[in-house]
Amino acid sequence: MDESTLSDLLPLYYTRLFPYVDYYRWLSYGEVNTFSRREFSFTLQDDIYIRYQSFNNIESLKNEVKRLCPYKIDIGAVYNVAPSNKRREAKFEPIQREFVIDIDMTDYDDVRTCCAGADVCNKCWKYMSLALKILDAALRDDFGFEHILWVFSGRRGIHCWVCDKQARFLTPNTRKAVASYLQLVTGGEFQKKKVKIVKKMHHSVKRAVDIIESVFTKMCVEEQGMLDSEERVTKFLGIIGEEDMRAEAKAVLDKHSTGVKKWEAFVNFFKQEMQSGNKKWRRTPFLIQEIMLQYAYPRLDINVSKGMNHLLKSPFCIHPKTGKVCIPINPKVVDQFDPKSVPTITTLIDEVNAFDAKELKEQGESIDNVKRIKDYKKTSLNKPFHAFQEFLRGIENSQMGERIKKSGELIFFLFYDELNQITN
Amino acid sequence: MDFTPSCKRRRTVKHEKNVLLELYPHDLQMYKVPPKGEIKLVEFQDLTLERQKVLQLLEIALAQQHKSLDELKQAFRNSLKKEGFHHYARLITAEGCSSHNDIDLEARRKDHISHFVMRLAYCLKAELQQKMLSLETELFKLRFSSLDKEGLTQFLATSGLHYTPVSKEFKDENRDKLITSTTKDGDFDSINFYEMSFHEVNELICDRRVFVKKGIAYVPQKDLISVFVQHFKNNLATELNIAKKSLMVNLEDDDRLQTFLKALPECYAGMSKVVWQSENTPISKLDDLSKTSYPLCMRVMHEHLKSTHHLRNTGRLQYQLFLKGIGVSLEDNIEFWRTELCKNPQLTDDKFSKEYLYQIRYNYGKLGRRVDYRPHGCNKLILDPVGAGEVHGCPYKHWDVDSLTKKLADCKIAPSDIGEITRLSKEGHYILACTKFFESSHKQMPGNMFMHPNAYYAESRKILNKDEFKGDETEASMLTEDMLVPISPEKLPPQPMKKNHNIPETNKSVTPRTAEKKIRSIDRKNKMDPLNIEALLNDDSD
Repeated sequence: MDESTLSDLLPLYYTRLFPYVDYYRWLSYGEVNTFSRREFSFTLQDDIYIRYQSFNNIESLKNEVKRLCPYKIDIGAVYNVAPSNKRREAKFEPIQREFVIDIDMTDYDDVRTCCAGADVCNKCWKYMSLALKILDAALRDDFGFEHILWVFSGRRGIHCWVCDKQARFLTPNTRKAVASYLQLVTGGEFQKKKVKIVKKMHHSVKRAVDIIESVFTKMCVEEQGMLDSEERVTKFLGIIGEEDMRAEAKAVLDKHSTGVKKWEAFVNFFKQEMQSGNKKWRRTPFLIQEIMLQYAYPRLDINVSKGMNHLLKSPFCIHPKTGKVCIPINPKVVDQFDPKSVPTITTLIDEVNAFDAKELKEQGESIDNVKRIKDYKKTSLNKPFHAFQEFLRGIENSQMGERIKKSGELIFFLFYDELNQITN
Repeated sequence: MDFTPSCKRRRTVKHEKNVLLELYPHDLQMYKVPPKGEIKLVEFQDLTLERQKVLQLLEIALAQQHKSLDELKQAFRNSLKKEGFHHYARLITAEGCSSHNDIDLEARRKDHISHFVMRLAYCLKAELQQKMLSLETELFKLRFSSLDKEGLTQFLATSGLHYTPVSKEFKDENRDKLITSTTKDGDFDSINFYEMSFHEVNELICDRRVFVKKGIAYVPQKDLISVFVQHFKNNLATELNIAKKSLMVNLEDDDRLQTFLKALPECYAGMSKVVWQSENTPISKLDDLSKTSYPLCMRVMHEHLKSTHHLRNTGRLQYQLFLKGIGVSLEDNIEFWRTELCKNPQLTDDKFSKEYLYQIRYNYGKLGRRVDYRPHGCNKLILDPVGAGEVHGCPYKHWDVDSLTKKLADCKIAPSDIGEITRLSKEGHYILACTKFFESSHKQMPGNMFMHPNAYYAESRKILNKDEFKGDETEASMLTEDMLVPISPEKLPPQPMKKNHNIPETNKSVTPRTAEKKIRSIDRKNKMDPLNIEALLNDDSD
């Protein structure tokens, strides 16, 4: 998207479409103090970067955003004091922060073959939906988190915000632990085998394998053509540790012409060797699973999750290169999400204009009526916004629950006190 | 620093046995109650110096990366005995409360007092706090693992941590998951599982060694150790900060203690510290240096950068800081990266200024937080994650055998040495593998053991410069920030060590007094602001 169009359209977007109220509902978590001590940072035109912005209320945020029309908004941690006052305080430290995950398609460059770098298509997007499903399950089932917001990063990745109270107050050490728990694929350029399962398969890994297994052949073997060329086969064989085993595997693969057949043959060959008790192959009993994980398990940028003060791009930003809105993704229907059909700032403005023109035409001069309908409802943002509101209701209900519990205790306490007085 | 324990001779105060027994009923403690009563200054100092040396030995033992806890314990215990620290050798394998004779009680008392003095000495700087935290935690871990059943029960009872085992029904219901998600040890039906929040067992979560469901971790008996270790660590971290605050108030005008406490950490510095080169290294020489004096990790990054004109973020960070450490000036560093990265046709000069320049200037403390960053040590290189397509990190840890063998052959390492290096790296002795690489490429052992790429470089320059100029004026050009530890002889071939007999001599020359002067002058030069400390925390250890 070219820059001058963007700077023309951003003011309109920030005045008419950006969901300030819901945004505030989210980031305040029911407390003004939480919102006012939150760090925001803005990237303006020409890469001007301002950090440590904070706002006392929704109005001042709104005014500043409208005034600056940032190309990008990042959200940081909630600090002990309002970040804009940090110079006045001796001690300035983050005290709460959502547990966040950042997944970027470039980390898949050694396994995806359809696109490279910044490009993304429906084939490689499948890595993202798979990542979302696997991590969402781990966060919910293993750690018991409930309020998880998944967001499209605007071009080729996804972000995750775990907003449960417990998640927001995790210590850095526990964040690190959870992040490594979720990180399975490790090793750089010179480590060909990147997933190692020693002796037993942890239940979370097993679950991930189950999720991957159902789509692996179609997605990795067929669409990505995992075994479709000499070079890729060599890469694949690199995962197998020893020279003679590699040769055996190569012989099996060479018998077949298509990738899918090769894969099936390899799986069968491995099973046979395992059953016949071949010692060499039995040393890596989880080889098939390890391969599937290496090719499809989510690859997260672990440093983002570890720290408390790492910034992450805010939902509802406009990606400056693609013009796409960073909209929430509903994890229940992630398979239907198509990055190509995400609304861009241009289509949104057109939609609003088209709607208004149509209404005007039908209703004549009664402009008031047109104005009463919220602008986002006239656009394709309507659906993602509803998903966001549903997420907010979830958080608010649990906050309500907490408050009732507290006040319930209070009532009981008062009652108990009274009882004491009577009996005395 | 040559120190022999001499407290017995000096101590005059006799302690009543039953008083001691009441104070120290167990070999292990969480150090929740500070010692009370009077102590002679000399004993106070002796006890503390002794503990410091003990921790130092532990650091060396840890650096040898023993395969199992038992092996580590054995090696550490041997070195303690050799140095005459019999009380500590005893504590390392103490079972808890199986015996309470005079020697046991004396050991426990020493342990208690010296731990608290160490807190005072190590609380002042974040860097030192971190060091004490990690070493004391390791010490605790070793000692905890020696407890017998009775010792463990008694310790649990006094520690104030209470957990209840889960019901048999729950175990049966989740049998498979409990088995596959925890490391196997003994008969499933007889093992108790304890439930607790996942926050309490970071280590187990981190390594995926525990069954977690809806935020609850189910920890088998034998893994309870990591619950206590974490508890111990958290507690000590908090206490160190409290100690820092109260020390500033309470010891303000006691000169004797101030001097001692400040000088203490300097007496034995770690081997994982940076060695800065004071001489300017021209970038035109980097190609040659990368072949002669770089450790493999840096050589790989240099070559990757030269051939692909690209290096991913963490790699750039590590290599830029290494260059900074070997004496490449900021301007040269910028020039070097600009030349290399811009050979990539897609990267314009403008894009370089926007995306890469900032990082380099940031690393030199010219921008952003203005922290003068230090080159990363081996620990960090080994522990930092390496993702797909990245070439940074420790080759001995992050490379598979095939790639490593090939690379070593490219570096013209003798085939017999290649086998040795890959074996060491496979067994997890990364530092030893690196030392072997050094030996093989320099045809001699390094004078000092290193745990830092920049220390490797310094050692290499020392040898090569001597060869080149046959003079020792080069020694003076080395700003060694600390004294390096001579290589522990057990694990390495003996013959080259003879040359290095003079090395410990230099260590002796640094007494607490001179070390203390050193501290003061450092303090004056660069005052630490809060941000600075924060950055140092992320620096070497952990």
